Amino acid sequence: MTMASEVVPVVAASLLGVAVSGVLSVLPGFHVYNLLAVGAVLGGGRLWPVEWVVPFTVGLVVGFSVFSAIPSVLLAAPDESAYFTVLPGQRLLMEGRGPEAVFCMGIGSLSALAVLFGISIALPTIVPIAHAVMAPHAYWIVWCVIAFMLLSEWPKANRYWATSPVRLVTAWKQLSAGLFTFVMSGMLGLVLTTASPIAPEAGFQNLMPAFVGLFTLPWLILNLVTGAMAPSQRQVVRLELDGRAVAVGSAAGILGGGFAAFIPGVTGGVGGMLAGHALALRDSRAFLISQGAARTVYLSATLLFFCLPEGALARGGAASMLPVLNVNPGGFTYAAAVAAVAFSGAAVAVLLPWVTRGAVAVFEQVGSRTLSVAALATVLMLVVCLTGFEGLLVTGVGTAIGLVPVLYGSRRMNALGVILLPLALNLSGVGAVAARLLGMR
Amino acid sequence: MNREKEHGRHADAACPSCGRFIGPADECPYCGTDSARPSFLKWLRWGAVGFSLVGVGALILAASRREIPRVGLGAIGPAMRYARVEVQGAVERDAYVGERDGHVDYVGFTVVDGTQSVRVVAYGEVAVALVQTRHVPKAHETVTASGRVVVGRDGRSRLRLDAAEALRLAPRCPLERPDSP
Repeated sequence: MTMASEVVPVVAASLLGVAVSGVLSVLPGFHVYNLLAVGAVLGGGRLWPVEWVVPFTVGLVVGFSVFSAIPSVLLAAPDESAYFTVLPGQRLLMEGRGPEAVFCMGIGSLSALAVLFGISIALPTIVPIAHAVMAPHAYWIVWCVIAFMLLSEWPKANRYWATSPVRLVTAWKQLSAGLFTFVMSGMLGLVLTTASPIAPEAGFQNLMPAFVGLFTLPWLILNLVTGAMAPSQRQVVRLELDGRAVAVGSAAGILGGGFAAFIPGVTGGVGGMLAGHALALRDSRAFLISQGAARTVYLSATLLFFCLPEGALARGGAASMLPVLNVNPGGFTYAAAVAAVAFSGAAVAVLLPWVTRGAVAVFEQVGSRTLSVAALATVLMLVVCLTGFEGLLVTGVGTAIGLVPVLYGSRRMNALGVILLPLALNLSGVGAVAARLLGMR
Repeated sequence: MNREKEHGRHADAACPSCGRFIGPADECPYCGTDSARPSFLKWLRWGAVGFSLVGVGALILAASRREIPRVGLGAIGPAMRYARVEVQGAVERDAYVGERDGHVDYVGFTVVDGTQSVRVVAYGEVAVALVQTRHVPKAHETVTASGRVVVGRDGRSRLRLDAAEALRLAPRCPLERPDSP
């Protein structure tokens, strides 16, 4: 096999993956894992040779991690890992400067990809050692993450009430909604991991309907109901960023995303929150940069961890899809994935301004309501096709739970109880006891 | 132009006092009007809480009555990853019991059902419990095992036992090999 015959498929497939994600990621409610699931079900792994599948998947994921910031900011329809971008991102959006927020996140993503590529040679050595050290402690780390996530939520009352009882009730209304969301999504997660109504043949998509319900549909529904409108967006001519904001934001995002990629059950959004608190980010641009970096590191690093030649780690949703796509860990797989990260990063850097400009034009022409209706129909169709009507039932329950934080103003991240609670219970060795207490076997 | 049209359609999310867009907020952040939220969104709030409780309750009730689905060994593959299933078949050879630092850490055996085979594995406390309760299967024993489908580094699917009780042994029977006609 010549050098060219190995390199050409990697370059071509990476670029193709980025191009596909450039078109699809700007749709509200789209998640790259859903596309991978469709590819898996359609036998994508058998149709394409592995030297194409790996870089194409990396291209898709890297492209999605960057381009999905566009609907997250411009349509305010984020998934859970984009939660934190809503606040500063939405402020810029309402000032007609949404593309600036997208570019800030893009800069965070690109610096994260550069760092990930730079340390990729050391990952096969570091990750297995770090995993061996951390694995026995994973259970208490996950409990600490849960505790921090719940305890760090603060009442957001924007008004001073005259009496103490009213103040107390007002504050606890929002906090209770957060706790309610966590407990309910945790119970849903226990059902899905213990006695799932989803058919075993779709086992690798077991959590997908719940995620769609908890994170995707509530925002689409709220977009439809309230029809939040933003003013016309100005194109970015010059982006003023100081070096410190880029450095601090990127460092926070890379730390948070790396932590999320390494610790089971923790996602990019949670990692970004932890890093934001740890580095006390106050600058809204640094904050956006950190969220872009956290999201990209989380999504890309979980792919690289899965492909490691020794001591591969199965983390994140991609890990359940890749074996179905016929991708197995190994030296070539890892090398192809690392190369694809570099090529995809370069392609994304070139395409981001064009994709953003195109998306702004399309959004203004079509309107968020029409897009939300189309996204809603597509997502529901995917759920039915991949997991049947049982999946649709789970999505319905997930949507009700996911609407609670949106309507009561608490953190949507609390809905991550769907993974965190069952995982923490199982890691602590009491998952079966909890399931039995709920009457499940 | 479409944006203006859409804006007009969503008066539901506007403050009844000052008319500005407030989404699902409890009170208007511009003029401070209490209970500025439109009635539809109030209903949606209570509906979300109520449907969450009913939905999760119904799913738990249904789950408590659900049997673990039994599948043929040939059906087990990467697409079943994380699914909880039950399999039945004959044990090909005596189970392998692995130790680490002098303690039992692993029990593994292959189950065949005439046409296909699958590796059943148990780790840690589950493996210890299998040894202590003398539930380590021997060659040709018929077993029923339930657990979670996992995929190894080699891409092969295995069944990981959830608990020692998830393995039930039956009297020995003649072995049918996967390659037998």
